Amino acid sequence: MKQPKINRRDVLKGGAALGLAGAAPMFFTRNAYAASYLNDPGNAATVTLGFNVPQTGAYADEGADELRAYELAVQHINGEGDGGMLNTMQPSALKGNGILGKKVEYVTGDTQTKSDAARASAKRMIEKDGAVMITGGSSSGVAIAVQGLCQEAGVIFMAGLTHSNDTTGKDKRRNGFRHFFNGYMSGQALGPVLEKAYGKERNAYHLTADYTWGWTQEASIKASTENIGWKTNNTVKTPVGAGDFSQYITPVLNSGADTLILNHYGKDMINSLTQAVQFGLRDKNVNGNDFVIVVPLYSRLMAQGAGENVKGIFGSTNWHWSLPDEGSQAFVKSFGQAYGFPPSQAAHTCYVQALLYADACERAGTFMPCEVVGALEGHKFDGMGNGPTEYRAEDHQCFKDVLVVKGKENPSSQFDVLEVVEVTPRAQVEYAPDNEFFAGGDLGPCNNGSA
Amino acid sequence: MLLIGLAMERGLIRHFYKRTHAEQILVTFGLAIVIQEIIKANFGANPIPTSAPDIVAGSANIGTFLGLGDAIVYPWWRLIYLTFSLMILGGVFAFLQFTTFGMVVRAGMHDRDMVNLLGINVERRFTIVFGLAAVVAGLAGVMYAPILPPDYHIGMDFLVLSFVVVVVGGMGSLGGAVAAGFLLGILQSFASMNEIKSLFPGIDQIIIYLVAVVILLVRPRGLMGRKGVMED
Amino acid sequence: MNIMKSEIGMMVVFTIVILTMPLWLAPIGAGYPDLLQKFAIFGLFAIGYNILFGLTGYLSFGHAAFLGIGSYAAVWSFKLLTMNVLPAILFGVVCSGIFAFCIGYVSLRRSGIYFSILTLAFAQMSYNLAYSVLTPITNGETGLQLTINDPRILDAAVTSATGLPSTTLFGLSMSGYSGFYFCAVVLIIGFFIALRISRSPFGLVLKGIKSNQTRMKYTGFNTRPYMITAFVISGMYAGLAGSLMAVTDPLAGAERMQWTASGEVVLMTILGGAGTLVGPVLGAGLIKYFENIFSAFNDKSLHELFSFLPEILENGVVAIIRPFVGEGWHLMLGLLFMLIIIFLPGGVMKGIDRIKTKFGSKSEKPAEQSE
Repeated sequence: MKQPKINRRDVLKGGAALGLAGAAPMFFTRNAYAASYLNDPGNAATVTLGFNVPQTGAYADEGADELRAYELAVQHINGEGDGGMLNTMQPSALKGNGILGKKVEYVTGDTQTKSDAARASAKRMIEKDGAVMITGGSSSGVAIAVQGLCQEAGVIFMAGLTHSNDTTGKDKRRNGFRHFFNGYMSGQALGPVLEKAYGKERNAYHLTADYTWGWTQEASIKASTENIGWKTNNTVKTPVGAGDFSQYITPVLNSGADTLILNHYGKDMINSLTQAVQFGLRDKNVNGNDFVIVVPLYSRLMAQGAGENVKGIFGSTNWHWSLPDEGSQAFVKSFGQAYGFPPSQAAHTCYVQALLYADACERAGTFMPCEVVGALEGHKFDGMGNGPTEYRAEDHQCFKDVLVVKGKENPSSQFDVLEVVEVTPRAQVEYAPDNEFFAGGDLGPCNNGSA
Repeated sequence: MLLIGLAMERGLIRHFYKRTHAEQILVTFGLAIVIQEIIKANFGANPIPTSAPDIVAGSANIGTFLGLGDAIVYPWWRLIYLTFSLMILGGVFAFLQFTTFGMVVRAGMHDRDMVNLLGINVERRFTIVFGLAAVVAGLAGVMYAPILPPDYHIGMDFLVLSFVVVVVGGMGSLGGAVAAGFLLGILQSFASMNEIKSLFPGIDQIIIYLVAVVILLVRPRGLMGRKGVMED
Repeated sequence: MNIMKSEIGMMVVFTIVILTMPLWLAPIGAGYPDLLQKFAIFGLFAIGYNILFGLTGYLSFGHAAFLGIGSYAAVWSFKLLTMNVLPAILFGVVCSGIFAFCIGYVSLRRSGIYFSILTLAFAQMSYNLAYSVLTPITNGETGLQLTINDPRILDAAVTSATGLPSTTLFGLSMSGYSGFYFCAVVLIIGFFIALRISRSPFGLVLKGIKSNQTRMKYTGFNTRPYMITAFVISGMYAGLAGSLMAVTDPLAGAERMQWTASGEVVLMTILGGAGTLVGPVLGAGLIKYFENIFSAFNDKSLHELFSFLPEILENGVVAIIRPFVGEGWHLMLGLLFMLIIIFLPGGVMKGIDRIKTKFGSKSEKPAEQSE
């Protein structure tokens, strides 16, 4: 490799030669001496993590909740507050004195739910603020884009809310990890519950957001409902951000379908569900069946936005604050004390990701990405809200229980809109790494980045 | 709404009648961002569910009414919305077309200086028209809330589309805007039909823009645009 | 003062200012490679946009389409041909040039707001298609990324053992500072070309179109070929900027083509000063700075920033500023737009000119600088 290569030090020298080096900024020199990985905190007393969440745009509220969770996680890792899940996490190497004795500092940024902006924000954290790990996000497009960036740059990426199969399928990366569940798991968990509630003789009509996540979701749900004997009447793609879905809903009325599956998320889901209910779909009776609507991926914030219309509608979710286990309750308690309301599933997954990362560093004894990857791969843990969980080494997907939920008929507060119908055991949602929905990707080698 | 609109005009927009169109657009856009962020700070970014009055919940079974079985079902609220918007349209049209006030405004649009020279305070009338425009937009928003739960970003979602509709209809023409709205809306629904979509995949994503291009190429000033409005 | 008048002087000053950006931007927190690259790239985008809008007065509201096309073309070049950046840039510029010709040919049949809507319509069509049905080409929402298994037929020697290859200029990696310097050099060249264009007979024709197209036509002058050329040139600038985005960060996403992105370059140009040469670069820098730096503040970092103040004062200042930064950075941006448009009509450069004429002893005509 005898290629001409200009590194930062050469640039620095060039700058000095120009006689302008007087103002040479800090970061030129910070890691100038033989560090073995990017943004090695070395002997510094602190270590910096980057929290990259949507602060503007449609998912701004979810992003705000994620940020709250991260701030809480940092407090707990640094030994402040009541410790939250630090007390219930099994096994745990965390001592409540930061990570590897270094106090955790953090920087924040706005993904705007756009790949470009998210990458720019992550790059700032890596290049300027010296973050060793990037985490957060509220959509799969952003998660996959930032995961790719972290792989190239050589830092760890702990995905936030991302539900597309591709994040740990086609687009998986060695430096990226996902705790959240995915579309395939939603399908596997929902199938049996739907069968129990609605029987085997159903005729389903899919409305699907016309982009990557929607398609993988539709394929997963279609496969699992056809498995229980349902027929698929039609699958129709709707433009993202359509606003008015009436032209997609009216054909459902006369299609002979008795089930509408809305593969939408966020605003799209709120609008399509609201309007489907207004069109009287749920009052209909087709083929002797009451017409029903299913929303495969739920979130509590979305359910709040759809108001009354979610009552009785089935869907799946990664976590819900009403779970009775010790870990969930500890988290809900400290979150509630800090902010006055229960956390969302986005907050939960982000909180857990931050703790898992800290724990992995502690166990690895270093922040070096490849060592941390090694510590996370195949790591088994418990006490974090979803029962015994494993970070599978083959695709960096967490395998854990999945919740099937239903819109609550009589909510007691504005946060109490979903009720847990069933906790689907992990075994039922597990799949082989080369499953057809996840094939085609390659983790590749891990990347420590060049210091 | 009237008050907000009037205040906006008095405080800001009025100083911009003499500036370029680009600057007019920019300053209102800036204001839109500011208002939007203030809403976000107060109400959050999540949509707020708003249900129509219970009495008109549910849907009308038009099919049965016409003796066609239950083939056509349409929510009551949308029917009310339709009637309501037609009434507003009629009102605005009559106001601009049949009152002296409307006549002056239309004349002022054409040649502001001339109308001013005639001793008519055209500025004040423009202020009132701006306020009225805000009221109409506000009413549209209120009435639409049960169909589309509002969030802070809802204005931006409609911005481009309404812009396209107005221009396709032709600047300065109310009838043109209405016609363009109907035309684009109907074509959009038509393009969303499964039969059409299977023939041209993705057509429902672009139909509005495609039609806009065709119309503007065939008719230089949109459907019913007037000469001299926004052409400098 | 005469230094700004001569072309060479202007180029030298511009070159020095751009190349030393890492040094003088560091104290305000903007001296890191990614933001510097963005400054250079969006500066280029805005310069190109200004050739159309600033010189001819035609307000295109769909220029982001060319940015996106440039990016997609460049990433495909990385995927199929080689990781060398030159073919990618060439491919990106050519592709966007072709698109610009097609779109310009149709859109330029109209003027004024009708022209704006035509360009907007084309850009929105591109965006919607790229986001959904064209996913095999664009990878939709996720954005087009490199993968280890890409063919890269000209780079057969590179093995996949080291993970993803990075973009290079004959071996020189295009990430970090070298990426910035590369973009900066391209920006300087682009600036020079724009300078030449605006002072050439061709540029004069364009300015003539802006001041009175009808009169030009009556004198028997066919303005259409000139308009199309200007449109294509500015489209190629956008394509160049787009391919540079892919060079420094090999990913191409559909949202680069959305109307908000088109609006952004309009804002940059107008804020900086439409029709001036430096203005658009300034405007681009301003907006990107806000987007990246102001969005990054949170309670903690604000307190650190003002920790030199006594505690009560510190808390007060933080409480006042907090709503405008972090998740509220849009509010700041909106206010900034309004303030600049209200108090500095014609953009920042015009404002600087006016201050100069007011206070400068050797005051020049303000029009002198605004090319």
